[in-house]
Amino acid sequence: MERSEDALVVEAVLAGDRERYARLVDRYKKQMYNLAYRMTWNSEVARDLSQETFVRAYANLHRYRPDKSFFNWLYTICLNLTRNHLEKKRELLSEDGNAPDTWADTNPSAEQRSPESQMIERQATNGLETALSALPEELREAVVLRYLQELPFEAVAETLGVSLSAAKMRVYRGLERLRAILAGEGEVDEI
Amino acid sequence: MKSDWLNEQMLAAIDGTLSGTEQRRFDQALADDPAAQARFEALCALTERMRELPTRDEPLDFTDGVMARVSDIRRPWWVRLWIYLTRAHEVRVNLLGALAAAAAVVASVAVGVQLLRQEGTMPAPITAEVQKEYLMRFSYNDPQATQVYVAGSFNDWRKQQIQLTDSAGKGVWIGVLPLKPGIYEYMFYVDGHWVMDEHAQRYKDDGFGRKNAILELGTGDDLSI
Repeated sequence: MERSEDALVVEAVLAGDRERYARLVDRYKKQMYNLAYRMTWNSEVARDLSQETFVRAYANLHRYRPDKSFFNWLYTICLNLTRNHLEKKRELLSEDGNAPDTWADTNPSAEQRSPESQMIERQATNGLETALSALPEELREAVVLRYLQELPFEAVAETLGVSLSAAKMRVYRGLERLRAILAGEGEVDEI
Repeated sequence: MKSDWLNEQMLAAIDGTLSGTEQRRFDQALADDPAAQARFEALCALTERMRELPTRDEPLDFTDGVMARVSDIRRPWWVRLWIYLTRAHEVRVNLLGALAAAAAVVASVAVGVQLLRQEGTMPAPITAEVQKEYLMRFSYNDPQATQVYVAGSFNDWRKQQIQLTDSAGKGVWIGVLPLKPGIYEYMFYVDGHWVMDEHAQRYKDDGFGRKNAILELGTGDDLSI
């Protein structure tokens, strides 16, 4: 079986050529950073989570199966770290009596920026990021992977650990929920 | 389930992956259902907007930061052995070398047997190098607490995995954990609430108005926190 270029680099790293791991980091750092950012809306947290993704991947590199996509494997690690982070955040917010999952809650750094810069950012994204942050985590993951990270449905399914039809269902439900939020309909019943 | 079919066809149509026949059936279905037509147009516009969202640039020192951290990671000997045994590697043998190696093995065995006869003892076992680990003692004082855990980056923040015990019944909760060299963040999880370690030497803002304690292992042999 012909091995992917990523798998060959992994082989080299496992054989002791640690510096070649930087090639994998360089190749995928933007995707991991953006995935973490789009799930947390906090650039510092996104940096920590995405860097931790590569560190965890390195520590567990011997568990990577060369017949699978290294890229999808990284996505799975990054999503798991992000889920743990968001779970901890939800617990902290609920302890404090705050409602979780609002844009300001998930993006505390926004409060430190000037109102003008926040307005510019919101205008730039047309409220889309705000609406995305209001999606349930399970649906947000699916939508972000498909339309922001532009993974094919098969990769979305593999990353989420669900069947292809379940991945499509999540994406559709996420899109529909997002459309309703942006239209000012708030939460809508699942179709 | 017609709606499931239609929803799936909408996703395929957005991606432009419907075949000619499928596209005609889909167009007909939308023509028969104006609400579905409106929904489809809204979803098309929405996915277009999402695809136009700008990507963020990662920090310039991103790769350096990762490589600095992985340079501290040393795989345990059994993992390295497993890697060696399970991964493909090139082995070159020539006849002369093989004969020399076989002779060396025979000679080693002969010398070993001779030594055993002379001394009547077994040779010392060959020990592989084991990665250094730190035995960390976590302690938390609270006589009122009923359940105390420690959670952090060392266990993916699983809050009810590592339980501390108050064996003396005096409110001093203790747990010992083997940790590899590295930098960790942690908090205590006390009766369903996250609690900072007030005695940590360093902290990091967790982004939610609280501070994770920082534990840096790489110097010293046995620390207590």
